[in-house]
Amino acid sequence: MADTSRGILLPVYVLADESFSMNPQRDELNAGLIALHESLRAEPMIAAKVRLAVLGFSDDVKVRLPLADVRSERHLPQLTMRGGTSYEAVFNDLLVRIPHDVSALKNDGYKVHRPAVFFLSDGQPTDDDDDAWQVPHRRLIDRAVTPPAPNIIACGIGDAEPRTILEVATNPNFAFVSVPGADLGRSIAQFFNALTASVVESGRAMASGNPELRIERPDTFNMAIDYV
Amino acid sequence: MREPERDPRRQGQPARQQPGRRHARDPQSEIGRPGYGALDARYDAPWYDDAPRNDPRHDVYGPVSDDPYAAPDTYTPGHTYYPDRGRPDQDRSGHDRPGQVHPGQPSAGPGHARPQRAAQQSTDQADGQAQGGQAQGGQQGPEHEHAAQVWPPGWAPIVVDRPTTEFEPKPPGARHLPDTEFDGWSTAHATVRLASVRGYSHRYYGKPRQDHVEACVHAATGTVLFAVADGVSSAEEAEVGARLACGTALAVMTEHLDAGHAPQWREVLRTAADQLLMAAARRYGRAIDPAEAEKLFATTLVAGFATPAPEGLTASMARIGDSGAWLLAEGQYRPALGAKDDPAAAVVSSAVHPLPRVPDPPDQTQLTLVPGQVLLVGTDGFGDALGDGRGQVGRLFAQWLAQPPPARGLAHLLDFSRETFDDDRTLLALWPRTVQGSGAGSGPR
Repeated sequence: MADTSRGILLPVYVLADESFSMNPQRDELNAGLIALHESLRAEPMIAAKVRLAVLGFSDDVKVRLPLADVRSERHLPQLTMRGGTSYEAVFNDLLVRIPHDVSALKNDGYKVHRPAVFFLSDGQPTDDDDDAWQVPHRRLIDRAVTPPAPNIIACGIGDAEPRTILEVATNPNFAFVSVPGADLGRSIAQFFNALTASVVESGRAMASGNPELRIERPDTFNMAIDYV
Repeated sequence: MREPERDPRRQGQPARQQPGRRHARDPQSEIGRPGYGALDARYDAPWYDDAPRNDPRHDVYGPVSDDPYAAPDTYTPGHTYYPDRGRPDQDRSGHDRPGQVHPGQPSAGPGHARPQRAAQQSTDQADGQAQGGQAQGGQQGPEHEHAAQVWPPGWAPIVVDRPTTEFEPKPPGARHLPDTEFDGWSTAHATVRLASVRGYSHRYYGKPRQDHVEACVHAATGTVLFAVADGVSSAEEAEVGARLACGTALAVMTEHLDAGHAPQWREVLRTAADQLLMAAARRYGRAIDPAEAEKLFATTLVAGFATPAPEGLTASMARIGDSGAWLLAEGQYRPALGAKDDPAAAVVSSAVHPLPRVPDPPDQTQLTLVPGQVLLVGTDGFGDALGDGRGQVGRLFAQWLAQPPPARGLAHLLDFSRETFDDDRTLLALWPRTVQGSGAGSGPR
């Protein structure tokens, strides 16, 4: 009989903006992914309880790392800059991907914590219709429609507007924007630092039977709600 | 067992004790180890095998085999090895021998010298290979008079499926809060075993065990009283809250029995909550609100008592929070206090409602325990790993708890190693001892 008690996992999705405007920051983005990978591997007990996916989004979503155990992945794939910034593509993708991934983990005998999506963008959505992304977004975070609806932590840098970032995040405490005039490369590094710290802290909290998401504010970021 | 031959050249040479190591070496598991490098030279215990980290194929005494149970390359008289003995983690389906002390082996304690590789290692020395200063420092020391003693290999953690990371625990903080507690005894009617072990995560990060368990007997009525608590990790002094809740619950239950009536749950739980509130007020030196006490001392609690009954035992329990109780019979687990999780739920719920909150009415149950059944009361560190009881952990405990194990055996069993399960674990097990008048039933082995 299959063992249905193999543990409780936290699925983490990193959604990175691959639009052309991010091109100057490509090295920082990829360095951030490597640092995240290394940090998790240095915390093997937490890495055992986390499954990480990396998705690059532009006009569509490209899977750079399907949901995986970082302990068995030697290298994280690289992000490649291309096209525009379709938020609609992101949320349509997650709407299918997350329930599918959660089912797969359960079939492997795991239980899951509510997934965490870390969303990083440097600009406003370029979707044809300004509100086009909000329809799949609403369905994604509605726990009646999508039972494993994720917590979304949204970070905006560069041209991203605080109001948009606030709308993407599932909780005002999960919405951050870089301080005006901040160096974009440095902001990206801080985003990954905070992402790593949040995953590690959440993993530790969950070890003690207290499975709440612990989110750290990136250093050079402010709460988006402070600007709205 | 065979004693290693004493070669004058080898006298007093400490050797590596392979069976005591936690798991076979995995170079990847070196990543992220806590930095104990500076302490290495001071550890001379047989199971301490962490040096030097940068080369997993060597220890301070020379090259090591990846398989501690493998026969040496060349048989050397005096080299103790175990050709017939399986690895402790050999059988992953749960057929290990937890807590077993191998008959005929002296049960040498920590600090005794290690003959395991004496012959090979001393040959290394004779060949002039470099040795650590610590290894040579004890040549004249009296402790090496015990060089013939072998640490029983049966104490390595029981591995279920994939083990958790291998590491040396960090101290739990400034206070004496032991890693593991266990106890075991029987009354005329009941056999009790209990154990509480610090979770791998708390060991890794140097936090105290926040679980607690207590049990005692009310002699006049032959009633066994017990309490299990899981301090909520977000509380600042969860370990204090858990101990206070257990102690209070036992004291109030005893008072009620002394007064000639069964423990009243509402009062037991209310008093436990009040004690947390009062302790918090004393800590802050002022009036506090319950939320402040919760921030300091929040804890789950299962309190219960078992009285002799014609069929075996009658057990009553009340709980606050997500600790649980199960009835184990014929390899099957039946939740006795409601399951923690809805198995159909999409994601695991994070809601915990701990003391000092007291729901009204409290979650309570009463059941009859007959011979062949075991009542298990445990924290979620055990409950999450048990799940529905049909997995490998469930089979492991069903196998070893069909009869009462030695108390230290329950502690060893509970300390199994399985990745992702790193919370503190606490378990109390209660067996009805005899059927009155018939003499049948289970007794401790």
